[in-house]
Amino acid sequence: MGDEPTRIADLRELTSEGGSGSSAAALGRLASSLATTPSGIGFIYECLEHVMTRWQLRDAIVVIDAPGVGRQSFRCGRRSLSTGWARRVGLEAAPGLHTEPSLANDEALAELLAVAHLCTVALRLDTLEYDALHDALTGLYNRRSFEGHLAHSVGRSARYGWPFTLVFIDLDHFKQVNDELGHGAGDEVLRTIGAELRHVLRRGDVAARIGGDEFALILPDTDPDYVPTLLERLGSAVESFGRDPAVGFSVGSAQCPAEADDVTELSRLADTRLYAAKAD
Amino acid sequence: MRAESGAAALDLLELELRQLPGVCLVAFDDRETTLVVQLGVEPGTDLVAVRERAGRATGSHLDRPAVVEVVGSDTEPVGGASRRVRLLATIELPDGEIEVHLAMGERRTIGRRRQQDPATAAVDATLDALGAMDLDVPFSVRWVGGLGDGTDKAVAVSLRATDGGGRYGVASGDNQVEAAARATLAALNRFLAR
Repeated sequence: MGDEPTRIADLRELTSEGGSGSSAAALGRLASSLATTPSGIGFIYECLEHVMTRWQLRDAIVVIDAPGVGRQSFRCGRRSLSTGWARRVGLEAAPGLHTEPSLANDEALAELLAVAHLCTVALRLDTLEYDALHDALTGLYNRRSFEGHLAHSVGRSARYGWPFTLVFIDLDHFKQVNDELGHGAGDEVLRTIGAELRHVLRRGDVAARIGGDEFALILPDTDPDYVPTLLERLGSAVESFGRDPAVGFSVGSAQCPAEADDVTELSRLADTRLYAAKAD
Repeated sequence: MRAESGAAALDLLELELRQLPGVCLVAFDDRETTLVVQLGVEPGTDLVAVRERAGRATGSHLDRPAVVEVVGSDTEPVGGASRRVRLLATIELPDGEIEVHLAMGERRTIGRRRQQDPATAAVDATLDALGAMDLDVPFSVRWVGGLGDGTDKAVAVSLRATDGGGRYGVASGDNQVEAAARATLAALNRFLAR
């Protein structure tokens, strides 16, 4: 981090009126679009396109190594890794923007440096957003994200009449697994259930881990046979743990808008059914 | 909340793939009906776990058939190891057609067959994919059968050579089709290494 002030000074010079006219203007536009980009990764590829066009390159790879994102490389246009150059640079080269052919003039090198920094910021933004919305253990959505999805689904149902099923899942005997086999075993159970949910759900379904051993699903346009089938497949995965104590799960669900058409009532209904199932 | 469609779906998939331990490079190679998802990984990465998790992530973001390929740095020598034929993936398409994806060095080919028995189709598709690599593979299917406990995840393959000889291979896989493709390659292992 010791050279950070110099890097910022480089960037300021390039994007200020004192910098080279065309370079500063292009970088200024890139930096402005970063503020409004819907996707940091999309922004990185735009940057690489910009560099390719401006310097008439055959290829470009930016290698990023920064706190929170680790080492990550991006090749222009998401091109295949079929060439030795792409693999060598992408997997082994030092952080920075690497081009084919390589550029030597000062203006180009300064611009590549600035673009590489913009790409780093873009990736860190994306990663921060991802971490804020996902559960680190299972990779599913987290509670905060799930609440947003649920409100969105209820809104769409009210506006367009699109039905969906809300499902709450609570693991049985999970505390025993943690107590008797250790938290590592408990984590493995959660990871496996997360992976299995992703495997059995359709594209467009939403799965989240909303508490320690609680999961929730939003299943749009659900066929009546779908939920039991899904739960059966999930049950097979849970049985496959073969652990003692055996892990099972209880389920409660509610239909929107057929049974409730607002978040609070829908959640209360699914929750009540979950706890009734757990009591059986 | 992002709408997940088109380029946005690809961005989200790529971001998720980059969260997998060891993955530091992602590329997409559009090949006919199939998207090849290439992952560059750091040394020491658990390749089996990465391939499995990447496959699930890909399936949840994309509607089209996709194959996950893990690549390391380009240290493989020309000839020798690069002549080894690798099974990249087997795909059962909704219409019943079986696709077998093979790679040898940087070359990839696809064999396709549709037959009543998926395992036999997988063997024929594997032979087709080998032929598409310009390899002379003078063999045809004699018989294909599941082994063991009836789960069909282990398959034995017998191939008939045009000169009257035969070769046999046994392999397991995540499913019957993958096992059949692997068994075919196992049967031809020494022949291909010549």
